Amino acid sequence: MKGENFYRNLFRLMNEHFMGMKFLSVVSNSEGALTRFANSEIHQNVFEKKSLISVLATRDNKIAVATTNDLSINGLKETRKKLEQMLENSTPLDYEFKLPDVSVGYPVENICDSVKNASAEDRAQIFDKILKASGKDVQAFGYVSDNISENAVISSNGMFVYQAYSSASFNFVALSDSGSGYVSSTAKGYKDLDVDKKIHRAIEFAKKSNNLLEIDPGLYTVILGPEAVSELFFYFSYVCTNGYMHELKMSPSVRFLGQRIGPDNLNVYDDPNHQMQIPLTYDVCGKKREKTPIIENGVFKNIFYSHGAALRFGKKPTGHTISLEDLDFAIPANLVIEGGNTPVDKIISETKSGIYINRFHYMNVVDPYEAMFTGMTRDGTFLIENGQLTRAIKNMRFNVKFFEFTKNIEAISKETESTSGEYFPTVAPFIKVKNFNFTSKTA
Amino acid sequence: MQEKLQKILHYLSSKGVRYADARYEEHLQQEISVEDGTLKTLTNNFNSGTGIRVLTENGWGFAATDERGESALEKIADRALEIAQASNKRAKKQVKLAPEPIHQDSFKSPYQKDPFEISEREKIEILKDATLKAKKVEGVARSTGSMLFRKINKVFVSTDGSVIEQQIVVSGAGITAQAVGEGGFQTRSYPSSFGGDHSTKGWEFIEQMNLIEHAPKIAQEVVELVKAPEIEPGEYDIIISGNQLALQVHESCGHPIELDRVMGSELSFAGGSFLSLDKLNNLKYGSEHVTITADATIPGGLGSFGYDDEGVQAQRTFIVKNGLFVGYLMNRQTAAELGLRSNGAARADSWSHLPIIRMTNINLLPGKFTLDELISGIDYGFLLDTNKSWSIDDLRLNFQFATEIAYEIKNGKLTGKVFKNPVYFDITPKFWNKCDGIANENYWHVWGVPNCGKGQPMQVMYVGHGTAPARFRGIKVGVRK
Repeated sequence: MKGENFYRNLFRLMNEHFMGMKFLSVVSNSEGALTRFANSEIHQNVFEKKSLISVLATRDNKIAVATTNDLSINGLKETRKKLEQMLENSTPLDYEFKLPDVSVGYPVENICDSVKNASAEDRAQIFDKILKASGKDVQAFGYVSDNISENAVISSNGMFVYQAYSSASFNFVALSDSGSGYVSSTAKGYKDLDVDKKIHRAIEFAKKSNNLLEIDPGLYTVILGPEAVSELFFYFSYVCTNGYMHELKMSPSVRFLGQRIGPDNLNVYDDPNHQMQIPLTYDVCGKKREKTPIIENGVFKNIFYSHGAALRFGKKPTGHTISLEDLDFAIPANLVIEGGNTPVDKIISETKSGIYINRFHYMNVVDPYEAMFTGMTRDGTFLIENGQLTRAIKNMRFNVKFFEFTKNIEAISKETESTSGEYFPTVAPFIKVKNFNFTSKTA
Repeated sequence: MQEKLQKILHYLSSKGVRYADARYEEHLQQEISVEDGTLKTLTNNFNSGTGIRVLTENGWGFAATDERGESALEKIADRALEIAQASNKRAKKQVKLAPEPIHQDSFKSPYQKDPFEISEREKIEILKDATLKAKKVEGVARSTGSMLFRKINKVFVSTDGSVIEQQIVVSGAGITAQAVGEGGFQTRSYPSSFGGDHSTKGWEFIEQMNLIEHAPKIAQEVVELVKAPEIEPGEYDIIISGNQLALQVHESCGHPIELDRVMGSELSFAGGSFLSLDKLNNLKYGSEHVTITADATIPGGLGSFGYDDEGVQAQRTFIVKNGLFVGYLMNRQTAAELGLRSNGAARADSWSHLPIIRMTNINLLPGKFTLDELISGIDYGFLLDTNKSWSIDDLRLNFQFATEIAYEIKNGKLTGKVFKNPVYFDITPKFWNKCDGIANENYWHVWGVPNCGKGQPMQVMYVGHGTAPARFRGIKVGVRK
């Protein structure tokens, strides 16, 4: 970690070497390590350390972005030279471009000592713990990782904001002779990962997954675990909350924004301050990020505007620009699906007939206009009979329209969990829903 | 740089490592995107760094840095060693590496015109013209175009004695047209979707695409598509075009033949594979028409190179021969477990990442038919073109693909009628056994897929797929919504 003073010094150097140029820059540094295991053995063990400086320069309503990992004076000089050449060749935008308003904010540091001091041996000891819990009958697959990231947003009009944060995460597939279970978690530090509690669920699911039952495609009542809920709502946020696509009338938000789409207790936020989230305090344009409702009391409340989309369509930027290279794209990076009032055990015990789904695999968008998503079940799918998970079920493919899914929600659990996710960590509860559409089976 | 890397390997050897390699890479990338005739993005990205891989007794460690000084490299070598020692403490079996001759060589992907010598203005103008031409067609709501260029220089040295320098140049481009109707919006893309087509050729590859010339056709089709009906769900004979078949090969053949996946290394993330070791030389993967190779030697293929990132020479090997499953993609460690030579599939997407087993160019070899002959064999069915969506289960069996358009075939002829939102699904070996004809080499093209994701930390790899349109009998099309 380079520390705030390094970036303050860089702020001075950039203003010196980019004098006369209007620019916005994101400078970042990260150190990450990951220990991966399969067949109950460590098979991959890596560390990477890297820096990056991205500079967006503007002149005559043209923009260009140059990125390098050479943070030396010479690197800055070369980047300026490249930007001058790019601006010469570039053509003007079709909207009036402005650099972001200057954010003034305190430096934010959220670094946990457990991550700061972690070694390969520490990560391996978590693997040891998983191995011990798995015993002889279950094989362990997964990873343990940690990361420290810091970045500063710097602009020619005087902006300087700095943030640093740590994260630790793990996932674990427990594999028995006949089936599997899965858990994951991401937290600011190792002590909040809940490794001990979670790994036992994966092992239990793996052991329970014998004598798999094959069921026919059709509409079923399902209870989704937090991993499956996170996946589904990530795709919702990706397809339905980008203001740019909304303004082009190519997003389902055109029909559903402002509408009731689910029960009163369906509340979804982008919340960088949530205690179970990794706090992304500023976006790449230096805009301070606050807790923002996306779905509130069942009503689809807000979509997000990146810096470019806001300028283009006369909106206020919401703090969701994630790359200088695409100023039109916005996405919530701290998704939280709030818990309801009912304990999950009660939701299950009150379900006479249904299916429990632990995790989805390889989701994708079939029809973006309808927010129709497909995917497979994976690592723990069970029949629910008379309030109990009875038999494991062979994996099924689903095709589900998101806004039909939310309309069909019957219960949301009180408990929420952190899940690692493919792109961002998400906090999610268990959700019970009717008429979940399974369209094919693997037979 | 080569000397610095060799010095580091000497240092590691002095610490008693069994094997080590070091890779220095420089990546230069340019991306341009245009929307409705206006420039949207112009970016240039340069990064460089060194990755060091160490094998102690039986434990691997890898560490990477973008710092350049000798002391920084020594520090990162120590980190790789410390990591390898933590792995080794828990190792249960002996790590063996398949033997590979020592290579002291250099390789340059062949191109005629360096894309970085072409002015940004010239590239922007082509995309502007193409998107404006598409936008001019009545009913088109939006047209986009993009280009991507990359130049990678790398040096690889290993304690085995290999010293390899390579330069790979990548060029790619594509355009889209979108139209909005009552039932939603539709997209048509050329020459393929999700950024178009890519290759390890130079600017000449972009020139040959004739983006401007093709813009009106996709624009007219997309306007037609928004008014088009959907296919009534059912079983149909279909022809799948080359650009869609490339992704079909990618998902249902390319990924399941990765031997690390077969052996469980990806199980917690991207999943396993139905092609378990007992299937090798036993499973009837497809019909007799289906022959598939892994070929990193095709000039211009996006998955082509001189040597992989373990210093193994690029090769062409069979994966499926006349329908029989006969081979995997391997690195040196997994090949050793089968007592084979690696077929050169260990690739890293950056200096900061470890090489893992990746596709090269996985090719469905051409058949004997003309496209008209394939069409003439269908009483009622569809020709499906250009990928829109994909999904496949964790063993690579149950798949579902959506394409941008379906062209109706009736009595052996294209009727001119189009259908929107076609979706087809099946189980991998059942599907490939329903293939009863592949178009000939005149229709064969190596499509570039620049966004293949695998591994944790995630790596995004450039791979290629040679395909020609192929016919399949009795495929389920359409899902109940």
